[in-house]
Amino acid sequence: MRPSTDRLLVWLLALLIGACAGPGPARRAAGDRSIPVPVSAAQRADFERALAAMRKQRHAEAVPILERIFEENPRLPGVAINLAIAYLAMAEAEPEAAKREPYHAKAERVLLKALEENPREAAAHHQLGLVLRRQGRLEAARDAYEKALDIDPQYALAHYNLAVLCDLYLQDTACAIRHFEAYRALRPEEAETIDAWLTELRRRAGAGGAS
Amino acid sequence: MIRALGVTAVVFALAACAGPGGDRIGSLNRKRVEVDEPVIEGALEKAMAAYRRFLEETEEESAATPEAMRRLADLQLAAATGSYDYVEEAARRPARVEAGEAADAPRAAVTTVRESEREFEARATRIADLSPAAAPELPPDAEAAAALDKARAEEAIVLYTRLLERYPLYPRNDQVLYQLARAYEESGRPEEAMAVLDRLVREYPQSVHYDEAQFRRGEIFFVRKAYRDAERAYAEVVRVGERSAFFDQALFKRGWSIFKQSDYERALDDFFRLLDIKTAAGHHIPNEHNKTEHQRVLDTFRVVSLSFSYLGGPEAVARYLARRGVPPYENLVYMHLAEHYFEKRRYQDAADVYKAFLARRPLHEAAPVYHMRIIEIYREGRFPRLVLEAKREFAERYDPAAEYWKHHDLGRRPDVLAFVKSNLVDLAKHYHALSQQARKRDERQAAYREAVGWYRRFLKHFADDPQAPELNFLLADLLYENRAFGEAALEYERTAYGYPPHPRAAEAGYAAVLAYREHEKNAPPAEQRRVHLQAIRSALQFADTFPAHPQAPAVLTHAAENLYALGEHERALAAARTVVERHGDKADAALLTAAWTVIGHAQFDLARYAEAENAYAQVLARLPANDPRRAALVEKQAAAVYKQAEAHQIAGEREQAVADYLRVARIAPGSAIHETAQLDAAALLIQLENWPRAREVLEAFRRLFPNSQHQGDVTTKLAYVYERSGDTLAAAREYTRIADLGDDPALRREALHKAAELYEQGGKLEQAAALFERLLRELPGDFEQALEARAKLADLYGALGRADARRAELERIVAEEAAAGRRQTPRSRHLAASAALALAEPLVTAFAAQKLGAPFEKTLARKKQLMQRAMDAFTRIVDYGVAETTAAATYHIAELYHRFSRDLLDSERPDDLNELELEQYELLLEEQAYPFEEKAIAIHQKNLELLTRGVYNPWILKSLDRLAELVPARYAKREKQEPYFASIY
Repeated sequence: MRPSTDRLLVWLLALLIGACAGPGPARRAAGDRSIPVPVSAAQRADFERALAAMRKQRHAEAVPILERIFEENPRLPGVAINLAIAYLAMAEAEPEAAKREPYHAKAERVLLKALEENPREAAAHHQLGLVLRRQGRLEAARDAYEKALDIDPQYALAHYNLAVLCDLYLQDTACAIRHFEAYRALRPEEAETIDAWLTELRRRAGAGGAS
Repeated sequence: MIRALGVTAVVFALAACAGPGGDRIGSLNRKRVEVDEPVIEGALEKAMAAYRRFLEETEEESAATPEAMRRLADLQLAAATGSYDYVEEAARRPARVEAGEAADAPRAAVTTVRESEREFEARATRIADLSPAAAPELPPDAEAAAALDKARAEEAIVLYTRLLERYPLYPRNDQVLYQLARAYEESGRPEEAMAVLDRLVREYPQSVHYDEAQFRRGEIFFVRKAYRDAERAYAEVVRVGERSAFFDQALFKRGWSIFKQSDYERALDDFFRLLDIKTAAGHHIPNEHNKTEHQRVLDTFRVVSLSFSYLGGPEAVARYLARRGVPPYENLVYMHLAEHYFEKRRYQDAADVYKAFLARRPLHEAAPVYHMRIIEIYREGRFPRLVLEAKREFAERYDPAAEYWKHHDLGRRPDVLAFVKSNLVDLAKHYHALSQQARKRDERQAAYREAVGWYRRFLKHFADDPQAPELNFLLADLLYENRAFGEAALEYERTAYGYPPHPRAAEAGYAAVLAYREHEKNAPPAEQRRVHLQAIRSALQFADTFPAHPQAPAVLTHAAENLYALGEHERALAAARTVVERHGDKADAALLTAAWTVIGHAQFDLARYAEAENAYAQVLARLPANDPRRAALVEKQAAAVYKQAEAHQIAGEREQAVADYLRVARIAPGSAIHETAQLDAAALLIQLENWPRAREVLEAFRRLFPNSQHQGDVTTKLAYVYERSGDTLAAAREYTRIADLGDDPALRREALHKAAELYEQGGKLEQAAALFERLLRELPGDFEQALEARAKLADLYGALGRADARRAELERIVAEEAAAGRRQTPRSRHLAASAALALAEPLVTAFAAQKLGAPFEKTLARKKQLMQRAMDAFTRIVDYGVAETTAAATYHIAELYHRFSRDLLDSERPDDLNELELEQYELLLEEQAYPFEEKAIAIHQKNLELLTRGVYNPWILKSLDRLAELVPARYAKREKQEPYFASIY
């Protein structure tokens, strides 16, 4: 089985265990709103078409549409974020690491551009974190997640992904515990899974740091 | 009767006054002749009859008788002499002078009827009437008439004699005597007539007829050649004075009398006295009223001239006039004398007389005319040298700037002016001809200088004369003939441009051009440039002023060429353009070719390349195919196009630049410039990323210029173009070629490497491998580069399925790197590590393939052995210290353990065990397996540690994945990624 599918299945499994309601559409960061930018009817229609494709995992289809909208209107962070998501998905489809890098680079570029226009868009920071992690830039990924959390301390997904980063990649047990706890607070429905992880983490931490 | 008498009286009066030059009678008579003659005849006869009757009837003497006698006698006499006819005859002699001619005009003064001296003397001294010698011709029955006349005269004589005898106191006896004398003369008895006249003047000195009687006496004496007596008789008349009707004639005849005595000086006194009188009355100027008077003046001058000529010529004149005083008509004296000599063909003398006068009176009004006459005289006399001298003198003396004209107005003397001009022309032309024909060189030279002087003088004073242009032309020709080219050119120019339009202007303009050319050839070096510029200027002026002249195009073309040679491009262009535009249809091909050539070169130098190109095209169109000039012009044209291309390129108009570069190919295929242009076009097309065309152009270059030094560059460019246009194989071929043909090893290596890469890209793995082999053989480069190549080669062998070759390469990498010592670099380490890794993989496969089954111990031992071998291999890889391969090796090591554990657990159970044994066996297996599992986890975890050291590679992630399987509680945590972001904002 291909690794990406592997991952996906594991991930879904984890989620099911967590009885998570599914990610659904990303939460809008509270309190920080980009200045609304005029969007034409055509652009909106195109966006919907792109989303429809994204929903069906047809990333290659969605990308050109999103790219066009983004070129016309770089001040639409939603477009950038979707592009990044699509790029990452297409990267995963590449077996060779070298072939994945260009997609990661594109995703990073588009998110940075969006962040130029909308520096307070937490979701963009968060998505950037995901991209950075894929690129192996672990500390930068941490920064990105933290920035997202600065803007929106209630950003659950950011807490979660930061926790995972700290746990698995950065071997930073304290950070992992903190953010899993925060996530658990925000997502009590996944308490069972999260608690188990927290227990294990605390034990390790008590035993003297990362193992 | 009374009427007849009256008529008769008039007749007598007429008869009494008749004499040579008797103007009053003549004029009167002319009138009368027309009207009254027949009446007179009839009356005369009747009157005579009447008197005869009276005398016959009155024998007795009465007071009337002498009167009647006289009257009758008069009538008789009158009838006898036919005096009317005679007088009329005298009056009818043609006037010799034509009215209207100036008295001063020498030619006109001479009688047109050429009479000899003898004839002149005879005519001039002619007796007034009655002399038989001068009697008029009688009508047909002359003898009868003569006889009758004679009879009548005899009768008159008888009557008169009787009267005198009978009536001695008749108060009119003086008249009777006078008539008697006439009657005697009429009857041819001159001696008796003389006796009577003698008596008359002796006895009646107060008579009204005294002067006439003396005059008659003088006449008779003169005829008898008794000149002294004649002189005395005439003197008496002169003494009477000007109131005498005979004064003029007496003075004249007295002069002649003295002249006949050879006392010329005294004769002159009389003649001059007469002239004084006549000229004062203006008779020296003829008009329609004074024909006879004028004739008298002429005659007087003539005898004066005769006298002077006997006295010795002009010196005599001078002496005489000095003594007597100079009259106002002094010039006439000289003139007549001169003309007198001329008549006699004494040309030198004639001229000398004029000269003498001119010496005396150089500023006289007649001076120029007399001088002109001198010239004519010499010409008549055929003295060419003297003619020339005289003409020269005339030219000097009467030059418009000379002293003479300060005293006279040349404008008022059109005749003189005309001669002054024609004289100068003659002199100029004479010397001009002489300069061409004289035998000796000095003569020719002298004549040349003279001619120039004379021409110049004319042109100086008479530039407005219609002849001036023609003479100017001749002057120019003269200068040219004598090699004074510079001056000739100037004069030709003056002729061409300095006068109102005239027929030879164009010719002169052209001659100027030619003269300048000669001048240039002969000018000293210091002057060369100035003359050259002048020549050009003249040529331009010529072509401009006389465009219709057949030589205009040639001249203009030549000027254009010269201007170009001097670097005057704009002017050369203007001139050449004019040739082409103005003369394009008529000028011959050679000229147009030359003109277009100038245009081409000039435009080129002025950087107007499009125009230059066009001009060159024009030239080439006119040259035959084998003309040797073609080659250079084609090159130039191509260069012009090339320059246009360059200009476009500089302006950033790359497409147009390419088009122009490629046009060079069409114009000058195969030329050096074509080669350059082709390359430039290719370079631009590459810039424009127009791969298909760039390719075309480069491939064409390769075909066209196989020996070009640029072929290497072309290959490089082609390689690049092929690559960019996606034709990887063609690109690879090119790079190979570069590697083959190049000499720089680094470049060749790079090319070879690139070629190999391209082959690989294009799927030609065999060729790629071959090239890497070659690379390693010929151009391994440095240690690291060689390793890289080997690694690449190993990959290719792998892709080609040549496992052995691949392994060999990988082993070689490892071995070489291990032996490299200090040459080792991080990269070489990496390469060697990767190679080692690749080499280790089969070990894993071998290990995995080893099944655990009966016989268990054997298989187990075997598996352990294989595991160890693989482990060792991976451990050595870890020793390289290269992050990525270390992670990979670590991973593999962990996996070996993990695999081993799994295989143990999955191993075939011995089939000879019972349930409990089986259970125990299972536990044993688990106990055995578990440590390996633990080991696997630990080693994977070790891999994760690399993350904290900033290492991040897929092997680590693989370890993470495995850990997520093995220790899910700890590691099965995946990031959450939403599938999409719903908001557009």
